[in-house]
Amino acid sequence: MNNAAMDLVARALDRSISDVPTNGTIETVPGWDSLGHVKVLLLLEAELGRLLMPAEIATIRSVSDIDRILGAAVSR
Amino acid sequence: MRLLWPHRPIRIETPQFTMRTMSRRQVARATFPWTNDQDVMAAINLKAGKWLLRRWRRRFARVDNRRTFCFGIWERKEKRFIGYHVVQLQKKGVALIGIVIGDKTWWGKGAACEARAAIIDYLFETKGVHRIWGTPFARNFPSIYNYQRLNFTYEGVMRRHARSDFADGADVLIFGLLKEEWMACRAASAPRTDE
Repeated sequence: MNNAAMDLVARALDRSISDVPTNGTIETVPGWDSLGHVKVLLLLEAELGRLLMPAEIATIRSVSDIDRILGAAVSR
Repeated sequence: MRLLWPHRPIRIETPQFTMRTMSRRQVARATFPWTNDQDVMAAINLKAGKWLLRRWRRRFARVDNRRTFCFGIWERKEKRFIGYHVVQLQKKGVALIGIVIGDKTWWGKGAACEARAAIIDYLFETKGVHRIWGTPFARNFPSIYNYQRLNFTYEGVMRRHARSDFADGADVLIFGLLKEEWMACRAASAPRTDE
């Protein structure tokens, strides 16, 4: 996994990247509560330079989900 | 009195909250102050500050405490009203749900998950419900988070389906939960309700 997803989650939640494991999820990453989720998704949109699609929004619940979306953006 | 309470009030307790059914008049009056709050109203895709109580009350016209219930949520320490949870019993065994936490001091503290988990238990255990579903706005990220935390499954999107004061219709997502999924989740490890 690329570090970009972990870094994005850490920056959004104002945490150290060591707090965000590669297998981190909304259940396990400290500070990833409902308001933290807003920060994560808005930062992801800023990084992508576009609004997330509804199906993307509905399925983001882990670092690997963010990695998948960032990876898809790079490969376009 | 019978018109206001066609059935016996229902009361549900959680560690932090007391929930009980309200009449449409009660819920309209209790929530009316929130119509001036931009953050609360934006979460339900409505503009703040333009509401009359009479017009606001129409939003709760279906609350009859027979098929459509509105559970007020009070925090137990100070007995302060913080939000409401709507339950609509639809065709046999299916319930549509929705929640509004209007007291912003409770945002990000797991109030929605705690209240909803108790409502889900109630519906599956005592009302013969086998499926619960909800339709959060696609841009209501906290609400979507709450469905995810309670292990609802994303089932699709209805494009520009819902009323919005900001656009010609707003996308809404469909999240569903089956009784056996909830029971399995409860048996394995209760979903955390502290966020």
